Parts: sequence; structure tokens; C-alpha cells
Amino acid sequence: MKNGISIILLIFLFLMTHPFVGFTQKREKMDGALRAFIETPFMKKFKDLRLESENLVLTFKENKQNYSSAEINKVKTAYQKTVDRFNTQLLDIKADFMNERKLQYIQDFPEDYTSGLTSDINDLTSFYQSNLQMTVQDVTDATVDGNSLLTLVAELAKLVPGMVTSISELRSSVKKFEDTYLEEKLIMPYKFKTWDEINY
Amino acid sequence: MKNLSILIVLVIIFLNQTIAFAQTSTNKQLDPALRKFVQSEIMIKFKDLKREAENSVSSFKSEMNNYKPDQIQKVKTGYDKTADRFNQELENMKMDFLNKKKLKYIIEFPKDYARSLELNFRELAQYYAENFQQPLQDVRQSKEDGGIVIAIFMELFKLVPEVINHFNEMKEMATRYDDAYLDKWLVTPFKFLTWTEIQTEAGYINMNNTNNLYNNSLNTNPNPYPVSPDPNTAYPPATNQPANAGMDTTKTNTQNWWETNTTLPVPTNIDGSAPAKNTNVKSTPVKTKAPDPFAPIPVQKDTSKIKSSSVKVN
Repeated sequence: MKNGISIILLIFLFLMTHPFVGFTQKREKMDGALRAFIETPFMKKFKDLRLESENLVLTFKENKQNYSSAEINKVKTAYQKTVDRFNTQLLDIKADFMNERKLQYIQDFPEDYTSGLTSDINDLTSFYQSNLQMTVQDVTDATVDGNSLLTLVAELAKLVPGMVTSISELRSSVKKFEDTYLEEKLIMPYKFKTWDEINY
Repeated sequence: MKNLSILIVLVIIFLNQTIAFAQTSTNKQLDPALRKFVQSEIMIKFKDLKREAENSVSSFKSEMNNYKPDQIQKVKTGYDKTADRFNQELENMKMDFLNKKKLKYIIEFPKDYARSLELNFRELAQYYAENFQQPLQDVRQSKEDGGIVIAIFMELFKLVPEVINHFNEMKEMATRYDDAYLDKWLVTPFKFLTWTEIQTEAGYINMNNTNNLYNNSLNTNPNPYPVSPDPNTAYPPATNQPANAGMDTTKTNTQNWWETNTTLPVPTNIDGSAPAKNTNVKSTPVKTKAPDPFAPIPVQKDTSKIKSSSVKVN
């Protein structure tokens, strides 16, 4: 009887601890893999881009007394439209990380994924130029030119191959990532803020 | 000994089968799915680009006497590099059709493939402009902006997403495609010719018409007469011999003109003058005989059906 109770207790203990051990191990693996990805020049540049765009908005907001509400609204809309595109791109990358088949595809055919992503970044560059940059230049009479941001987006496209290599490599340790994990580690730190969130 | 003979027979049968398969794969008719793809708007645009580029070379060749060798070389190198890039894109497409794993992915992630293809075409457009169009304009000191080619490229970019639908349709059939089959139907008809393969447009010395870019769809043979003429044969006066008859101004063809062309007689008017310029028909500088994927679908007779009227039931 006593033996029976001991065995049940042991089994109970094992069941209690085992999922945590598995969870911790999985988390460590994901951390290691994602850290390598986040440290790629592509992601660093992406973050620079985010900070630079916030800086642009702040500079504009500082001088908003010089502009009419219609002009402010014009810049706000252009900013919001542009960062929505960037955030969608980030969400697309997250979706790829959560798709086991897609990760396999990236590992098998990295050139295709590289070309696709480069094409997307080129589109983002054009979108930024024709929306936010043009609007800001119009409204501020080119006092704010937005060129530093443009340089960053253009450089981003060149960094895609290294980023894709990193995805291919992380696939060997992690088959797929979890939604909440990526939301916390990838989306939150890199997501572009909304117009209203940008304040001193 | 008996076993060895059986083994040899089996090996021979296997080799025979393999050779037969290789031969039949190129003789196979164009299947409907691939036909639809090669006749799609995007492939038509691709062919238009090929024609525009080849026509530019052909026209340039006909006026090559006006340029220095280094200028000619510049345009030639630019064209050949560009043609190589386009042909490589075709080869890549062919490889995608042959790669079952890749086909699966294309169906599964169509957006990625379409985006990647779009980027490739955009890079091709840039390459074309920088490496062929620009040197050509520089050498010719021409102010042509290559508007037609740009327009074709723009349309090409827009058509990229439709390629995915074709891949989807071909998914089933693609397992039967092999390298030789795709070479015949997908690569050869769309492949950019090399500089040396593009013939200069035949021009005629016409006292009333000094246009070097004379197009004659009936005859592209600059030397219609045999190499060793029969002294007993009387030939029409040589008034309308092509401008470059007797010497190959291009000096690039490894073969002689008379070996690469059909020997149609020079069409002349009664007075010996050059025939009227046919402005409606423009000759295309195609030398290699490629299958025509744009030909109508051959109607196959269904021999299994018997006319009901011809069947008599007793």
C-alpha cells in the first residue's frame, strides 16, 4: 500500500515537472535561435528605421504650431499609412516563423525568399517616398526632408540575404515558433508606434 | 553463362527503353496546360522583348559600317550579356517546372514566388537598360528613349501574378515534363538569339532608296547565287544585289549566308529595280527553327468514333 502511494506520488511529481522542463528547454532553444536573428544587420536596421521615423514625427510635432490642422492631419495620415505597411511586413515575417512548412521552404529555397522579401522592401521604399516623405517635404517646405529615413529603407533591401541565411539556420534548432513568444520578442520591440503613441 | 546472357539482354532492353523515352519526350505534343502558359500574356510580352532586342541588333548590324570596331564590340558585349540574363531566367523557370518540391512550394506560397519573379524581371529591365540600351544609344548617338521596351516591361511586371495560376494548372502535368520537352516548348521559342545568330536585315542598293533598313520579308538571302556559278547559266543583272553582297559586313556568322538561308531568287521588277518596299511586313531575325507554341491546337482525328450513319446494324 505504502509502495503504491510512493509510485503514484513519483508519477505525479514527474508529470508536474516534465512539462516545465520541456517548456524551459523549448524556450531556451527559441531564445537562442531568435537572438541570432534579431542580431542580424537587417533587424538592427529595421529598429533604426523605427527610431528614425519616430524622431521625424517628434520633430514635426515640436513645430506643429506652424502648421494648420489640415496640414498636420495630412502628415499624420501619411505617417500612419506608411508605418502600417512596415508593421504588416513585420507581421508577415512573424507568420513565416510560425509556419513550419514556410520555414522549410526558406531553408530549401533561400534565394526565392530573398528575392520576394527584397521586392517587398523595395515596395516599402517607394511607398515611403511617395507618401510620407513627399507629404512631409510639401508641408514643411522641405525643412524636414526625410532623407535619412529613405537611406535606411534603401539599405534594408541590401541586408535581406543575411537575414534569410539567419532564418535558414534557426530552422535547424527550432521547427516553428509560438505566437505569444514572437509577439513578445519580435513584434513589440520592433513594431512602429502609432502617431498618438509618439510623445516626449 | 545463361544468367550473363539474360543480364546482357536486360541491359540492352533497358538502354533501348531509355533512348526511346528520350526521343519520344521531345516528340511529344505540347500539352494543354503548358500550351496555355506559353501562350499567356506574360510569355507573349517576353517574346516581344526578345523581338525588340533582336530587331535592335539586326538594325544596328545593317549600319555597322558607320561605327568603329570598339563601338561595335561595346554594343555586342552589352547585347550578349543581356541575352544571357534573359535566357538564364528562362532556364530558371524551366528548372522550377522540373523541380517537384519547388512546384509544391509555389502552389503553397504563391505570393513569395510571384514576388521573387517580379524582382527578377525588374532586375532584368534594369540590366537591359544599363547594359544594352544605353551603349546602343551612346554609339548611335540616338535620342530614342526605348519607350516601347519600357512599356513592355511595365506590362510584364503587372502580369507576374498570373504565372502562379499556370503553375497551379500545370501541377498535374509537370510530373511528365522532362528537360528535353521543356527545352523544346518553353526555352527554344523564347530564347534570345546570340549576336552571331542574329542576321542583319538584307538591304538593297537602290538608287532611289538609300534606306539601309530595307525590309523584305520574301528574301533575306544576300547572296542568292551559287558559290561556284555555272558559266552556262545566265543570271539577271546584279543591280539588286544586297548592299553587302559578296562580303559579310558583320563578319560574325560562323556559317556563310548561303548556308543559313533558303535560296529564294531575288524578287525584281521587270525593269530590274528593287521591288516595292513592303511596309506592312517586318522580317524578324530568327535563325533557329523553334517549334511554334502559338500555333493552333492540332485537331486530332478521333478514330474511335464511327459515324452513326455509316454503321449498319443487321
